[in-house]
Amino acid sequence: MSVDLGVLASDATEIDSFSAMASKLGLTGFAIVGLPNEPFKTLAEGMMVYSRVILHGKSINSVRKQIDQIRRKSMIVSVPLKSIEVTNWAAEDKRIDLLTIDPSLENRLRDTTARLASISNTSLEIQIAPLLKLSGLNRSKILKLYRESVTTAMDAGMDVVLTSGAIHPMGLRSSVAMAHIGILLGMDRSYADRAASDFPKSIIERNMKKLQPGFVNSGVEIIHKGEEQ
Amino acid sequence: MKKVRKRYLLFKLHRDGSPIEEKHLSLTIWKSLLSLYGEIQASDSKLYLIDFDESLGEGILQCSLPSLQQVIAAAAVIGSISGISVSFEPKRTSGTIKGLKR
Repeated sequence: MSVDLGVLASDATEIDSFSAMASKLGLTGFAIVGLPNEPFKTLAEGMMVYSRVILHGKSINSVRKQIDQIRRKSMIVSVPLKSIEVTNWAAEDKRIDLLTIDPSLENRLRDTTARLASISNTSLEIQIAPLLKLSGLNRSKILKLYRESVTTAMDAGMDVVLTSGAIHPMGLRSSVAMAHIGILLGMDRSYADRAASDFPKSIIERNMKKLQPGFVNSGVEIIHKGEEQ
Repeated sequence: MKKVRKRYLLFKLHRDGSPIEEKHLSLTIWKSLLSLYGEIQASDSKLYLIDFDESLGEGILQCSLPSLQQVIAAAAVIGSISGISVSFEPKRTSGTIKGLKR
């Protein structure tokens, strides 16, 4: 089972074409931005589509307000690496699943942020889309940023998740291809396999549990409700 | 001269448009390998496109064993060929062509 947590289609109506391509590549699900009002849905042939929200706040307060509103409605919540305040807050907050490196912003992952994230199980997201689109010097700069960030995350014990960042179905890659891109980014083979398959799967499983009605906190859930006397 | 062990890679090239010509695919993988790993690694890869069905998009690549991972990574980061969006999917690797078909 492999899941792509980073499909960035501009229109949720493209779900069917992404689903067809994902199925060809052996994926069992993908997370897409803009899935309306539900954390996940099941398409034909068992393909799972998960809702993803990207929080673009400039201050901690604005991000905090947004997450209160959307956490229960979305399966994946991510924050791009921006200012140090917002990034460190997001790294510490257990409601945030992914910290995404945005190549256009050129903000690298700091050691301190990675250590905070490793404690709260927030993962580093690497989107491969810029690597497919660019070449030469521009791609080399992104490779530098990605490779440094992957090393920082791995050294701090922060999980790294590889996603496509695809805006069209041909931007998707199979988990094997994704793992080989992971090796290109400085991971060893077994870690690259986990970054492409196991880590995304465990995030989905963890969040599925949180969405169950009896869930209170990690390790605490309501099994049976007593009656008031 | 020491004999270099070969590996064969069965792959499928998904595309969003008309069929990709074999020579264009081969050239694009070579260029990607050259761009990512440089001239020495590209020449040592002994990369050769043995077979490619243009309509199905399925084919077999041959390369040296030490460069297998690099060849797959170079092919996986190809986003388009001749203006057509593509997705390279490695299917299986083997030391013999016969092994790929098992």
